[in-house]
Amino acid sequence: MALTIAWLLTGAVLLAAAGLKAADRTGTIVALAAYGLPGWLAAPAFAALVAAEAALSAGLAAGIAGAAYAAALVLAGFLAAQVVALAQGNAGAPCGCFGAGGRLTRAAAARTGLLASVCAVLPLLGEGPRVPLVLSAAVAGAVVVLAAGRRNAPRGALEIDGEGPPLNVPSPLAAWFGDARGATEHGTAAGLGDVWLALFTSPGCALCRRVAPAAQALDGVAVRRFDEVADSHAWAAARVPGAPFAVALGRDGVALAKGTVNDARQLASIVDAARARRVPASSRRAFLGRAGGLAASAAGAGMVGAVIRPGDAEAHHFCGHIYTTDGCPHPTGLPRIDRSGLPLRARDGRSVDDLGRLIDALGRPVDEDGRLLCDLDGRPLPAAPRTPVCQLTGARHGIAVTTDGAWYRCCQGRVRKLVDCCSPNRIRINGDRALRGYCYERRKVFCVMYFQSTIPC
Amino acid sequence: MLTACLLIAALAAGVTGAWSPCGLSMLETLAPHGHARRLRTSLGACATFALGALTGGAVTFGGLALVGAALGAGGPEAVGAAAVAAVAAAAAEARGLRIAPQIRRQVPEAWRRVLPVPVAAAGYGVLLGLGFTTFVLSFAVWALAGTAIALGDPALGLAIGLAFGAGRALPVICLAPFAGTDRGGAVAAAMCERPAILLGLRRVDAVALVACALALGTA
Repeated sequence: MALTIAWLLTGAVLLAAAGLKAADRTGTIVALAAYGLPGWLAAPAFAALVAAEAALSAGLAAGIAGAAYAAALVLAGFLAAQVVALAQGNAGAPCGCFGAGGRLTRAAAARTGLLASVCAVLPLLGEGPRVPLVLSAAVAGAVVVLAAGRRNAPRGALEIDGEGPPLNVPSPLAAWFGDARGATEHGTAAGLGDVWLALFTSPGCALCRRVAPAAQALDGVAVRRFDEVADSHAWAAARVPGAPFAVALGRDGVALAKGTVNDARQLASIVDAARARRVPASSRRAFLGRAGGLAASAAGAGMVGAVIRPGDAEAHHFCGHIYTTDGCPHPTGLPRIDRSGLPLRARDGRSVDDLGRLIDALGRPVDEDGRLLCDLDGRPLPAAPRTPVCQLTGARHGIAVTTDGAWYRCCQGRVRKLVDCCSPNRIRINGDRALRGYCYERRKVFCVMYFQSTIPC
Repeated sequence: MLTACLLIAALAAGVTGAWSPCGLSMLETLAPHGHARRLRTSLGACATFALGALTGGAVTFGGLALVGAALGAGGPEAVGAAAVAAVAAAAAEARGLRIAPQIRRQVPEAWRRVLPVPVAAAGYGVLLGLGFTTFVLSFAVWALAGTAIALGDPALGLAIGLAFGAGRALPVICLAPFAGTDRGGAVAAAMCERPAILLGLRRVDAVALVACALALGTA
């Protein structure tokens, strides 16, 4: 029995290694560089490693002695590579052993050696489990495929200059904190927190439900939630692009950090960045806070540097969107479109014209209740053009654009179609290098839009 | 009678699955104006997608039936439990309740960018055909899984799986080649914008499940 568990456990370790590598392809490929692998070889080596480890784990689970010996040989090779890398002074570099998380250390090498020894000894101790090879191979394959399809959320919030209130100036949001002393969440008054956190949420936003409890767990932070409907004035004042969004203020009401957040870690990154930026500019933490992103993280500043620039981030710009590309310019904010690419108001899906006015079926501007908008003489205001959002973007930026591809995701309980506005441009609308996204041929994403379906998910 | 009811329920459950993030994404991916870029590639990708879906369905439901056979299922208690589960699932389907438990996973989008489209389509087909690796859009999938185990008949499980795979493939291969046309676009838009279509399909699932329950009860 104990021997069977040992075989299965060893197989599980190898499968975990394969799965974690598959789940973080980029990180693993970067880690392989620590072993001196040239860039052109890193991607195929990554695939070969994942496949080999998955296959060996299946063999071990099936109790095949040859698989155990092969695993021992492979692991001995890993051990040799780690020892050479350590001898070359690469200690502390990404190990690539279990994804990209671990570091290359003597302990990691010892672990590899131990695992290799176990694999070599197992067949000598006795027979392994007799799990059908087809079954163990199917499980290993499924784990790798599912892991490869997984996306990790970025560590930091997505901070974009044009979204939310301007930083380092007094924010009108401070007034809401002033009014709400004693009525804030987190069981504390606004005056007691060293950071005031404005969390913007909306009804039916699943991500908001995940983020809101995390806000209450933040130490020394006075939290106030602003609902999209009930607090629409605050939303407008802070120029919030969509929920969930957070703005951190100092006690003097100055906006220190902001960004789109999807989870507790990203929310904490905003608070950490705010605290770092609040410290006098001569301090090291403040410097790191300004430096932002990778540089700060590399310097060991932890979450201080986690509010990352758009080019480094992979956060959701709006629910369902997983890249940093900004939304296409839209008359009412979030780039919601109908099936023809024409603008809709994000909040309720009502049609709007190029000026952002609600319109009726004939394209005439109307008010919230559907009544025609009239001038002072009582005459209906003239209709404005209504142009596909992508097309209008191309015209404004003087570039050729095409609505190419799309992908559907589940967002806020409804299936949402994410649509790319593509162009041959090498630069995205937010100034970063363009990505291929869902575009075809040589076109790349310029900006993004979405179409909301009624399908529940 | 029982076999026919189960096959119809499986086919209907598979078709309902087209109203999922992955199912709809397949229309975009395999369309001639989409990643396939050409009608010939699109048709080839539809063929590999269908093969993949059939394979996936056969693996899942055939495998579950094998598990049932290994557990010695097929007795009146197991069949009775399957009938009760089918009725419960039918009631939930008829009311259009939100699916629970839901599997909040999608097929990897990157495959269509890094692999030849027909190869990616085959992989997508397998994952969608497997039924439980991505969003489930019908309680019938869960009920059929239980029934496959309860009956413990590998041949019948295989047939259920093939019918389910065919159902998953059918909307995609029928619509994707025409997705770029006005009519195809209108159909895809109707799928997204008219909840009554999905609700109607789920009611078809419900009727099929009730028929299955009756057949199980009289088997």
